[in-house]
Amino acid sequence: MNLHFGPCRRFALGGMGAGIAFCFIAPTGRLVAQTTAPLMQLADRGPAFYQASGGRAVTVDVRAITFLQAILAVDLSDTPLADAIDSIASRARVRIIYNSADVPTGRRVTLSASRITLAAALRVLLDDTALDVHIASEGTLSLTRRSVDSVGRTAHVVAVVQGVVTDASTHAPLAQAVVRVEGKGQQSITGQDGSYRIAGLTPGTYALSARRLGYTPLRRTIVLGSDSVYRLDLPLIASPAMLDQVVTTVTGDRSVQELGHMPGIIKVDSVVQTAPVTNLTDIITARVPGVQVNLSSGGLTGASPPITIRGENSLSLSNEPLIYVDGIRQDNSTVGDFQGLSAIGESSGRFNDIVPEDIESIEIVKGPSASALYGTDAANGIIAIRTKRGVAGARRFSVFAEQGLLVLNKSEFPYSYTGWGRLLDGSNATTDQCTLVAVAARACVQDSITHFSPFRDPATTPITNGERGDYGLQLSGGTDTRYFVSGTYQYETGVLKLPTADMRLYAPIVGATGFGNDALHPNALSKYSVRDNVITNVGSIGDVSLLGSYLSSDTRIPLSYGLAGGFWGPGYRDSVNDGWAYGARPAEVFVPRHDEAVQRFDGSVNSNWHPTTWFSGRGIVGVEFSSNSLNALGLPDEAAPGDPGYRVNARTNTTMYTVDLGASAEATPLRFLKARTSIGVQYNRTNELYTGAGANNLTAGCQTVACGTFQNSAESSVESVVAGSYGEEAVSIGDWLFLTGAIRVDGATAFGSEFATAYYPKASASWVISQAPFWPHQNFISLVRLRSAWGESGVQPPAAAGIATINAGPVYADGALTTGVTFGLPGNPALKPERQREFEAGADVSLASSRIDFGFTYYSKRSSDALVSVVLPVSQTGVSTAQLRNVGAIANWGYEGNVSLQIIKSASTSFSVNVNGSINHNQLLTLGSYGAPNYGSYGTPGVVRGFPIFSWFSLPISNVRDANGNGIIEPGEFTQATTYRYVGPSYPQSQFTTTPVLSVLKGTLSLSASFDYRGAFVLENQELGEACALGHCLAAVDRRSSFASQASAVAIQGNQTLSYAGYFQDGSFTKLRELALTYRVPTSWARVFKSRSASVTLSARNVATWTRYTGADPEESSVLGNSSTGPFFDYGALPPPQYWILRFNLGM
Amino acid sequence: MQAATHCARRVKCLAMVSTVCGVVACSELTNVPTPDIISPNDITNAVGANQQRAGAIAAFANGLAMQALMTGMLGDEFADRSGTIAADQRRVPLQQTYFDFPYDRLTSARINALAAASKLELYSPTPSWHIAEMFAYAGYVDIMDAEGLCSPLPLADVVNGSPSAVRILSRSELLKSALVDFDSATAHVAQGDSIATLVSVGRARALLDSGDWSGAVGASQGVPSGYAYTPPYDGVHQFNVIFSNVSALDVSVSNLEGGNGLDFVSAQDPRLLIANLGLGAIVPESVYAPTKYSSLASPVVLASAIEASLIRAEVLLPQHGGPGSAWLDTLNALRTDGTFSVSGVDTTYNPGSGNVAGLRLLSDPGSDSGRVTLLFRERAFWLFGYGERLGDMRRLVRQYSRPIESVYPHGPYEGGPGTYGSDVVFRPFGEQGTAGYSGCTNTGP
Repeated sequence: MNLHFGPCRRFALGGMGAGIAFCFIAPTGRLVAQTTAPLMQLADRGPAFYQASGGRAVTVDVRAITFLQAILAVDLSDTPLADAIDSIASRARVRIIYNSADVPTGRRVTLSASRITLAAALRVLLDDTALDVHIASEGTLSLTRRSVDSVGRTAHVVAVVQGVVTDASTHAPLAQAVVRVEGKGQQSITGQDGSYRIAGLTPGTYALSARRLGYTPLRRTIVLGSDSVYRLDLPLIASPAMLDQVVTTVTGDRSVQELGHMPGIIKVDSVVQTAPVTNLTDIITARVPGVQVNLSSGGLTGASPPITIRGENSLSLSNEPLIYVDGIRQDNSTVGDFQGLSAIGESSGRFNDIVPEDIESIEIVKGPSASALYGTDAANGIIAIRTKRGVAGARRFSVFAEQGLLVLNKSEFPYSYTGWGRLLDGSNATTDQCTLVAVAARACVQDSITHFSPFRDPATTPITNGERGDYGLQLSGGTDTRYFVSGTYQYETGVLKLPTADMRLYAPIVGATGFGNDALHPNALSKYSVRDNVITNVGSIGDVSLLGSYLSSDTRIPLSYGLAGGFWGPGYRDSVNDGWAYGARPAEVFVPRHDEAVQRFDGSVNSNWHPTTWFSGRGIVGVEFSSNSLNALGLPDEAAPGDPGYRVNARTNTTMYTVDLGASAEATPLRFLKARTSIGVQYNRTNELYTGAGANNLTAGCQTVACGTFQNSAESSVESVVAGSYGEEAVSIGDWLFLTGAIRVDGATAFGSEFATAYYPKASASWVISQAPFWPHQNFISLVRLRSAWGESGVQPPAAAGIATINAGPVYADGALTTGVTFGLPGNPALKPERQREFEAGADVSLASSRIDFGFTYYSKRSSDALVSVVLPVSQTGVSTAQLRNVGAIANWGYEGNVSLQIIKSASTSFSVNVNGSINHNQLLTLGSYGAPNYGSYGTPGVVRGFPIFSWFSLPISNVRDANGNGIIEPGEFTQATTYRYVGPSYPQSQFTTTPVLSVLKGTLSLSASFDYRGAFVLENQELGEACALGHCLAAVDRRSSFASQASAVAIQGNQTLSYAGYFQDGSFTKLRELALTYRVPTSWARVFKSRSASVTLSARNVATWTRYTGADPEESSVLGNSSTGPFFDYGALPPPQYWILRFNLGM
Repeated sequence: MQAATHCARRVKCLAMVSTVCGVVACSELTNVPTPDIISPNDITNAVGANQQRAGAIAAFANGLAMQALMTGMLGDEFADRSGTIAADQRRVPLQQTYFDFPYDRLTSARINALAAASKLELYSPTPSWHIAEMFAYAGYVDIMDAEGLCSPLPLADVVNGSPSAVRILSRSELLKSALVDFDSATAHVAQGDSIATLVSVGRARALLDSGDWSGAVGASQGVPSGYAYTPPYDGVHQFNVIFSNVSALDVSVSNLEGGNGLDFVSAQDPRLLIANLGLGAIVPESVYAPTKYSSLASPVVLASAIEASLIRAEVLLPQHGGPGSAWLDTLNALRTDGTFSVSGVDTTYNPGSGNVAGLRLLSDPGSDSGRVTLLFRERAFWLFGYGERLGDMRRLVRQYSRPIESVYPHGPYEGGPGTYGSDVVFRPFGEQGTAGYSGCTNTGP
């Protein structure tokens, strides 16, 4: 037998029939078919052998295909053709794929040969069947049907492939899955029924991929022969490992396995339906290793805590990541100071404005190695939020309703203590100041100790059960133009109330009007939001999306000292103060009004353009506007008798513009090599306009600033721009090695005049070993990947920090108001961005068909040119200020890991456990020539070279001994060091989350929990310290207290600003963060209500806490400002309450 | 080959676009308006010079009021009722707090005053007393720093209207610097002018602090009776911080603080009328308000004929070689003219040059120590709330050899648990990066 096939030539067939060869050329980028067969009768009788090469189908010389030359012994007699093909495949140990509809059903064949090649056997069997043989891969063949054109020539004309994308385990159709013809421009996004359709394909071998967030991408090779409609259903397997998911990068969508870093991915749309999520913070908390919410949102409704990724990087700038929603940069500012009237512990902020129900997914880019192309400002990482989009198909409604209860355990609050006794000054009078020190000094004789906490007493407590409601309706549908509309309303009343005792006391003050709802519920939130988008296809070469959202919220924010006084009250309840510290009872801050009103709007146009198979373009233009209005009003005599009243109204309007244009070109210069070149420009402009006015001493009956006698006003306008461009080259070798190199060039407003341009390079490699040719195919190890990334990014200095300024304002001189000016900041013309360089490396392994997945990452990053706030000599500037200089360096290094175990996996039951964790180490390397250590102070962590930034230092107490044996530690019976000693970091260095999930009854019922551990950090129990300083802690009055605690109490009574050494405590804790039970109503039942799906979830948040910290709660932190640097201490802040939530989800 | 050419063309195209993008990044795109930023170059003109003068005036007025409050806190004039003012316990924080010596405000007043003087001379030389006023303020800041802070201190020169090099000066050198500023002021003002008198009293005060008795008495001559200079307060932009804190029940007039403190309340002295406002904001002790500070616009007196008389009286003490009872006569001349007013059955001394009725004539205690005690008590009541008391307490220790424990409050702290600390002066803050300055070496009185 002598077979010879070649491109565009006719060959002798050696007596085994005629063959035909195809030659495809692409002069205009489109494939056309051309036949070289002059004798159709002969040519069409036998099959052609061909394979794909560079996107084209070319005939092959079967002699060069080893496995086609396999020698077989065949003995087929009157066998149905399909069975014969299967038999041949079995004997040759190859896969032969065919559409049974293409195989003539009535055809029976006979072939008997002791030594025949596979190629020859196929040729015999397929003679006159109009089927050709496509060599899909080594050992895999596809049989495709040929057709004949109108003039009798064999012609391969357009074909259609269509099918349904489903969940492999539930068989439920999957909407919004992207089915793509790899290497081509064609793609289709599935509708609600999971269907897709791709037309216009010419015959050939294609790789079709189906991808959807949360599922392992599926890749299928299909051989299209003629103008037939091919059906290919694509069942996707849920992917807990997330490795195969698609994420959005600056240069377009990428499979995670192509990346050299491991992003954090949260499938929000599924989380919100089954987890106790009350805001965006809850979604971020304890779900991605290395991402830390510092700490929780605390107990204040409307609070917005700082978020850090892979440690604290900056001494002077925000450590917050950037927030992008659908590619548009968002205002993530935090309002920590209520216009000079600090709010109760936590800060309000913009992060939680974004409604979780509107989100499809969140991708977290953790550091400079990954965020380099985001440029200046991106060094702290990116939180990229992708909202839900319109889905093709019939109009669908999704409705949810959630009702919740907020509970704060009053027994968590510590008692205050008072030592009672008789004075020894001759008066024999009763005193409530009979502390141990006074006893030792023979000033009094103690006869009893009382304790009291106004938080615990029913009459004096400001704590109550709060309520929560969250309701929403979502609508989507369309065909070529798809739409999505979402509306939500949320309210929360918080856990604060006006205490009964305060109501009684303040009733005469508020008069006949009585207490308003504001005073009765001093921390309440209401929020409305609308989000919509419309996506339309522009022919077959692109799409355009219009996206928009609007939000309005109003939050009452009580001021801090209203609760702080409950932690160091007198230790008993009297008729005047009801157990609160003198002059600090809740009504004083609950009765006056303090609220924050927010209006937000964003709108954007997002377009994708792929005019050719090798070129695509992207464009996003958007604007985000937020208006924050802080209002404070305390009427005269309202907060307390004699209070002159005050009024503050301050508005901050922030507008952020985003322009992001990019283009990519793909090429396959070699068969095994794909290259993708991307370029782009980005422009981000932020305009923050602040106007504020305030007044004290309000005229009775008037509630405006104009009525005050002590008026002040302020206005500021801060505008900053970052403009940059980037180029990226990504290369993939054989779909198992991915290399990427890129650089970004930035200019920014805040750079000093002597610094012009910043360059941020990056490089990464991802080696999917298990997909490499040499990897032995076996079942247990399904994936092994090594990855590494290196990159740089920056954080720009505050706007205008490089410019010398003059301060100006109204003053009173020469008997009249005039303008006065004084020297301001000297500026720093050499100012440049902080620069972070990061290297990370890791591995991902998937075993036992993804029943065991684990990943590990090591990272090391260094912040150089770190901005150090160098205190300028007051003697030269006349202002107590500091100048930012790029002189510092900070190192962060650590480990992240995750393990996912599918312990039980059966048709009806599954049980999985996911553990993720991270350990971060931080060290201040240098402060440059400005090397003066800052050991911090009471409530403020220090900054000392060689230690983690923002650590606690103290003058430790030692040599505590009861020298006179009276059982009381007195001044002089201990020593306090005069040099500072390191105590520990003020923020957690380690974090581990364990999430077990049990699903029974085929997923109908599922139970999940989340245990959140934070460790290796120190909290300053300032509430205890304050109580001791005032003589109202147990150690100050009870001689049974340990000598160490007595010494601490004595020390802090002697000098509060120096002697807080005894109040640092291990802040480590474990919380049962989430607990949820979900019942999914069977589809048949749901249909009764004309619904396609329904579920109900009962969940709880912050269920239990295990800690050695003695304060009310280790997450009762007072975090000021939008810096995630703390300070972390518990000054009058609330612990996070428990949430008990019942939620209904209905899909129609 | 075709593929290679195609790739090369594509790379070339992309490189061109990248270059354009790079240029764009560094272009005018990053320029933004800065409507609320004033450049130092914007004030090098007549308008700017006068505005800087106004700015210096405001900084000085606010600094003076805060200095009066805080020196009174560390001294025995005022007591904390907020639980937050550590200086009241004679424990000066190591780091700056709001309740601290207003080192920044006074320094701002000084360098802006000197810069304004420089610009006024250049761009707006008339009226010349504006220039003198600026130099006078700079001199007074030097005095207040010398009286309230430890030693040595950094002091910036102002050259061509801008702060320049820093000199490190001891207390005595600081007082000499004040005299230099006063000399500069004198060059721009006519004798008898209000600013000239301000300079005279300032010079006398600096010399008194320096122990130059004869110089002090010379400088204090010629101050018109009834003279009092206050920087301007309108209660909004420049305000009396003592009133604001007392009315907020955070601060009270002290009474016999720490054992050594004067009986500012219980003396019921007509020079210091007191109102009881009730209990403090945090510390449950009475808040006593000085009625002389009745509003946010109540002025703080910087210099007066009364102070000039008190300086003369001190120099005239017999232990300084003063003749006979001249010192006592000077004090009594402030108190009463020796006549009485009759109201029903009561009789009251008519006011002397101090213009306060009801002050009886003083008698000589008969000893140097008693005379000093009496003189400083007179100073304390006449000058209450003017920021002079801490300097006087330091002088009692430094110039009259009184033990610190007999002058400053000590023993159990009346504002809470614990005892009084040992601080007698404030420390400057924000000087960590000052070249050549390594902090105070003398924190004594």
